[in-house]
Amino acid sequence: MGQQLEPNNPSGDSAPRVIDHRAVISFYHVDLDYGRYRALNDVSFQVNNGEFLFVVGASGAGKSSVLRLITMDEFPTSGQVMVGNFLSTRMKRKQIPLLRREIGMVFQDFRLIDERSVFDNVAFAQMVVGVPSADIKRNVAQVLNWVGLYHKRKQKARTLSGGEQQRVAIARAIVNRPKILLADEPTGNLDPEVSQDVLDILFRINAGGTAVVMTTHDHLMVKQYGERVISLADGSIEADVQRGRRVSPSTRVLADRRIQTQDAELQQRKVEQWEAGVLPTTGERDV
Amino acid sequence: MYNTTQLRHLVGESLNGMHRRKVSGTVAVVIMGSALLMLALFSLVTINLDRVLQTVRGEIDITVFLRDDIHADDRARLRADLEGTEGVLAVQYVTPAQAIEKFRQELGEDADLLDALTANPLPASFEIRLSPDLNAAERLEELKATISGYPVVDEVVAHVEWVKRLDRVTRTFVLVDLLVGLLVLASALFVISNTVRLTIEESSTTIEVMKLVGATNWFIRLPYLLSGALQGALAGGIAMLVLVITYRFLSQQVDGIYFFANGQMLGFVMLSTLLGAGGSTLALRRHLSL
Repeated sequence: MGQQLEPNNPSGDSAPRVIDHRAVISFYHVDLDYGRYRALNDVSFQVNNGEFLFVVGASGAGKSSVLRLITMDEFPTSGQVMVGNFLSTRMKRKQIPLLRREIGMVFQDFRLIDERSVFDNVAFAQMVVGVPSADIKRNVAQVLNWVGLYHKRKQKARTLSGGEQQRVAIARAIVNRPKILLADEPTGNLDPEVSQDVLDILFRINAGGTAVVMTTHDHLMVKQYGERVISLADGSIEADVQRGRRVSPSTRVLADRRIQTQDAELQQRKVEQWEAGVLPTTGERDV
Repeated sequence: MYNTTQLRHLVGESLNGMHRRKVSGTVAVVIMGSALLMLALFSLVTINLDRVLQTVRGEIDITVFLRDDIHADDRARLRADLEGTEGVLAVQYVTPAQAIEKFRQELGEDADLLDALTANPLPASFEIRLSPDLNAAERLEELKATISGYPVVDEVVAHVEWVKRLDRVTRTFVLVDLLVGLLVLASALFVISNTVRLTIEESSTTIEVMKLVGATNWFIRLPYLLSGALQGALAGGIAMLVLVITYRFLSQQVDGIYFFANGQMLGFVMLSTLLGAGGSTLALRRHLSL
């Protein structure tokens, strides 16, 4: 399903993004009730392979319910949800872990195992799905390098700053190379500068072909970077807006920093590629 | 099924669970071990008592005193009937002369008293040895009534009351064993499930992360199941160790005490391991929703 992120490979930053217009997530007229309370009301949308979707809305608007339906922590009261090849109406309980292996998740509160090292936190995700230990060492080293935390691999997770913890959480979310990354208010606990770093990493992951669904309260961030935005209000989709591609300026800074370490010829080529990818394409348009 | 990294994780987490909950884990093992020790002790007491009772029962006989005027043919017929009766192991005819000789031996130094007798007052009798299986007092009463019905029989003396009392004691012990067994079962399930519950609550983040990254339900549950089973095995092992030490000490004081065979002790430890796993299952069902 599309191009995968290659940790440690700068081409993830610079190569034009692949969106193959095949849906990796589909909601068909989904209602979700918690007892008498209707959390979602007739919600329908699709997320294509390699797409970056912002889901915005006030508290209680239904953002987290959308994510819980995607991970099949919840099932629709009516309608259906399709994630990859998994259909909510035909889902068996024992298939849920298989679905979750195709999804990476990042949360506002990081959800790391505090007493474990950075390396072990990331390795945990690979161990659980049965990756051999030699491969775990290699993959975890690569992905930690990729999020810039390899040098802190032996530190306990609790000793890291908020931004660093979120980067570990992202590393854990992508180490198994999921097709979808769900980010539930990932910058909610972070100051603006650190938020920017985290957002950059999410953009880079997306650039590698992974579909990203991110919920946020931050309308400014959405206005600045959101290329497709679904607004939820009272459990219904208020607007589903598709705009031209936006990339955060610091993505370029990060890319440039990495490029500086490479030889001049390669550097030049990378910058050109990156430039090609970052230029606005069609401008704003509503769908 | 699982690779070595996963197996290392499963075993490590099971031991970790016990390590993290040192106090409650130790308390659980001690309580469960004590309960198992009680069960093992009661079982041993019952088994030993039963063996003593079997021996005592083997010595109990029915004495059938015969009328003085009994004809030899009638005596032979009665003997044949008695020997053919279910539960009768052996029938021995005791002549009056043999009876007085036996009496003389029993009196020992006071045997001189018998010299005063001009005639032998003791009647001929049959001494019946019963099978140890014939332990039901009702069956003995029935036998006694049947034998009394023969016209050549003067009196039947059976130790019915004594047998009844032995039966009651055995039944009481078996009942106590069952109650102790139930107590052990309940306490084992309770203490282990409580410790495992605490471990589950403490590991909520780890469990959540495991669900998040696609661990199967079994993979999440197994460490807790193993942890309970390990605590059960430990409790069973300690109980057996204490029991062996006690037996070693007692066997120096008293001869012929029956003790468990190695296989039975192993069975006991396995039972306690299963109880531990049962306690974990209880905690997992109630406190871990996947």
